[in-house]
Amino acid sequence: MTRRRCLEAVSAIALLAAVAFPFSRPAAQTPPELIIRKATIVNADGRTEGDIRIRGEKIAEIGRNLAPAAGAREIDATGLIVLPGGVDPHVHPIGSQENLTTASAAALAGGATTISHFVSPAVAGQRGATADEDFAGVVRRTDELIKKDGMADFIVHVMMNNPEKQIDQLAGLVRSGQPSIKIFMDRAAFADHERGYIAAIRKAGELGIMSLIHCEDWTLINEMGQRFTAQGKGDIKYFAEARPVVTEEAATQRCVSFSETTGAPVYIVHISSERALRAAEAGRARGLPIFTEVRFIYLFLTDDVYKRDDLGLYIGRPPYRKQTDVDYLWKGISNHTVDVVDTDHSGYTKAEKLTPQTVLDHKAGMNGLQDYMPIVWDQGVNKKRITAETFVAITSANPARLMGIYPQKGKIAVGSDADILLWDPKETRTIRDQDELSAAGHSFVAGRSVTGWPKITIRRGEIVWENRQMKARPGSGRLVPRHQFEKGWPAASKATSP
Amino acid sequence: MKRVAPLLATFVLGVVFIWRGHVIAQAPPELLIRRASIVNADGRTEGDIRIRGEKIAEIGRNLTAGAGAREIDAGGFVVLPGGIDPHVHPGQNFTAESAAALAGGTTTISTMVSAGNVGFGGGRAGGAPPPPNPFADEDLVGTIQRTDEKIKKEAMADFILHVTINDPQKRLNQLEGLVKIGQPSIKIFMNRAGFVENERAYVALIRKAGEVGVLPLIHCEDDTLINDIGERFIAQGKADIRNVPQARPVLTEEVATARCVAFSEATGAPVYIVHISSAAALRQAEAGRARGLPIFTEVRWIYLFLTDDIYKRDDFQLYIGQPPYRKQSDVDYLWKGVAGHTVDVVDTDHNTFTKEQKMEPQTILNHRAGMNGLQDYLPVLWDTGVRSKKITPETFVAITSANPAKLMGIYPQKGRIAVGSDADVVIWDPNETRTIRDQDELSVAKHSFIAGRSVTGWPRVTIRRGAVVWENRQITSKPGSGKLIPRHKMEKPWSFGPARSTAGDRR
Repeated sequence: MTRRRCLEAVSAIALLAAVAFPFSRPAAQTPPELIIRKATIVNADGRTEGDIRIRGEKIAEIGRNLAPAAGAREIDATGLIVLPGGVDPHVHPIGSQENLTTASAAALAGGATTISHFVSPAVAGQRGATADEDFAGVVRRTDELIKKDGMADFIVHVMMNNPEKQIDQLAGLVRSGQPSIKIFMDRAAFADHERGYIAAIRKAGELGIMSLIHCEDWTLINEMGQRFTAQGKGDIKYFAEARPVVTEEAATQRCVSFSETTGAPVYIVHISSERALRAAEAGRARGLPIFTEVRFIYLFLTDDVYKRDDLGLYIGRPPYRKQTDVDYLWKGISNHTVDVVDTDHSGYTKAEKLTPQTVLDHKAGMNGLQDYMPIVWDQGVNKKRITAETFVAITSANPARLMGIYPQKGKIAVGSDADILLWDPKETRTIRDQDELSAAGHSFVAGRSVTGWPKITIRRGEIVWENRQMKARPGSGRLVPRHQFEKGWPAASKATSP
Repeated sequence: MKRVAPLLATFVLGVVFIWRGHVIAQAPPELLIRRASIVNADGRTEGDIRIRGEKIAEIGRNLTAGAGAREIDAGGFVVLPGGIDPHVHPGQNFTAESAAALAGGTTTISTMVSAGNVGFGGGRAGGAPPPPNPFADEDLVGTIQRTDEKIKKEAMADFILHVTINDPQKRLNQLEGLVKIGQPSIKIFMNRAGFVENERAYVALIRKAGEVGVLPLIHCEDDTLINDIGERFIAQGKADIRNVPQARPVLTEEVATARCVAFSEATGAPVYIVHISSAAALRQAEAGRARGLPIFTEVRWIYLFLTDDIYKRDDFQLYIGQPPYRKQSDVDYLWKGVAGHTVDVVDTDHNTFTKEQKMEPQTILNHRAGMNGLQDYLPVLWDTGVRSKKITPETFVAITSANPAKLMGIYPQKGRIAVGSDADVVIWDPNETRTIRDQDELSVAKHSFIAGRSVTGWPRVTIRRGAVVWENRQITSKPGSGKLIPRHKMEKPWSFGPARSTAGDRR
């Protein structure tokens, strides 16, 4: 080997190391104790003032003028607000470059300390798999990945793609401590296996497993999409027209009926429209265990987006709607008929998002983890649409409850995990592509000025984000074991009224 | 000897018809109805009605009778346009079911014919699979032509025809034929496995129907849910037909209705939702109408006076229909819809099963749905609606005649007493009280599930296209006098005029 090639190799390794471990550089030495002074603590159910003592991974004490132990690090939270770490139950850490480390970094920098992964069981003969993977196997495999790459804490949802076969694996999912499944009503597989999916939803309910359901009607979407395509309107700019509100509303109504028929809880993901939310609200009014998630993008963007030249960057399912929908979704949040606001994050690069898309074939999902909590704070709390308590409810307490990790997560309380944000409600920052820690490497809302950012993020007692630097190491995140869904737990509204 | 048998059969049949009171009338050159209180959907007038041939020739005061005219004094009665029941399954005997209709004041009925090889032959009691359809290869026009032959031979009421679609891919390009031959409607069942398996094709078919002017009539119950719940009930030992209201709850109707509304919204096509039974389902349809969608609504008469209390009866099987009976609050809401004009049509979904057939063993997933109602539904509706002041006589005419005529594309030929319209006229005695009895039923069902009920308000004389066909409680029509009525296609704007402004309902 020549000297030059050797040099090349060394520098390549150095470069690789720099790319692979950009977040581990100031490897933090965890102090024996952390005290947050003069904290204005906001939980979903109210606020208090005081100091917070953190020992190890837990909150040890909350009180006035706590005496520090030897070697304690003290942080003054004057002028800041102290919130429980965000819990985003709808994250896809996927994309050509994205991995659990990059998605974790984006989350922690944005204030979310717990995120999710959605994983499909391997199918024999596909992608090199030699055997069908069962649900418990999916959780084990993902746990390995989290142990290697995770920096945020994780929960896992298994995507059900073969209900007749997988219904018997649901009990194993409970034993694996990840009691949730994902079902897509906008896929042909659903239309082909409706009976099987309903049986699975019922069984899931009996076992305390939450069914997360994507509510868009495959039959209508596909019929309309084929028709638009045949009429020469297959271009992605027709996305909203080809996938109108009625396709979401009809599926949401049907999803509510699945809950009513089976008695099982259902969690309706990424509601985008007034009519879909009203359908869910009608079910809740009948006392059904219908839970509702709104994706943050539907709270400030409308279908005006499809007039932009770079509309490909914004494509997600369902499409953006009208301003009246935006207003109604906010109303639902303040009335507590919306339980969760989160991202449906995907880590696609700009190049991936801008590859040609059509109404029937597109790259749905975008990078949002690093910016969604600031944007929801800015649009919600700063604009006085919601209180800070409601902000905590929809971004932390409610998802923690619905995912079976409350009060370990979702609350600042003695005994809870020390997942804590020191939130600066006054900091104004402009979102820039180059600041994004997701491997997406860009944000669809770059250029937007936002007020309210996490100054420090603490995950299980460890400072993981400070001075706009990532301090966590890959592998420090964990798969969080979850409780089964508590039967009879009332709609989040009752638990979180501000 | 072999040739004698049919002759003998014809003779016996003829005797039976005469014995049953089919006195064949000689039509006079002119018919004058004197002192008529004429009620149309949009108001009432007083006067005489002159009928010449099949048409209404004149309406006015003190008309001069032509030579040989027959005069009928309608003083003390109400004169209504003949009933139009667009939802009738007359089975194989168009004569008997025509008789039941005419005796009950209905001059135009329908038949529903299954195209293709699925679902042929109706009821599936006892688990017997439906027999193969010998006409499976026929196109939709062929189905209509074949049925027209039977109407020409047997019918006494006028007919319209709906073809039931079981193979939507194949029928997409046959819809224009339905328009050309003048029977622009199709029937679709969302409560059959075939629907779930062919949803895309059905939605495409509904779209195409809207484009060419064909009205889809849609049975809205969710097959997936019904089967899921039903099989679960069976597994739990609750297969007994008595459990049908729990095994087929409102939800299964509501969610299919919501989806049907979505089909209309997604495709722009009109849809006609048959036999709505519950407040929740009607509300879904109303929500669609409020958005300006062409959603049309039919309530089956049985849901306007019976509730799920009937499942406690010993003979409850006589009452089995799809969807099941609901609660009194549903009954009340449906009446509210009728009075508020969000219900367009009230009719029977008549079927011809005999008492024996209805009493055969049934289960929640396998039952003999439908019952004989043609002869009694207008009187029961009058009694429970007009006499109890829930609706005006004008609304009664709207829901039983004018609206179905408009929706089925036969207005104002039918559905209205007006010069130039067909002389389908009912002289209605609002004060006659009669008890429904099995032995009076003219349908081949030969019984009524509501026998014993006392009802006030009956047709005294029924006139179909100028011919007196029911008088003195006798059928005076002959088989073959009924006709298949050519219909207009559905056209935009879909709203269908005066029925919406029916005056007088202030309750």
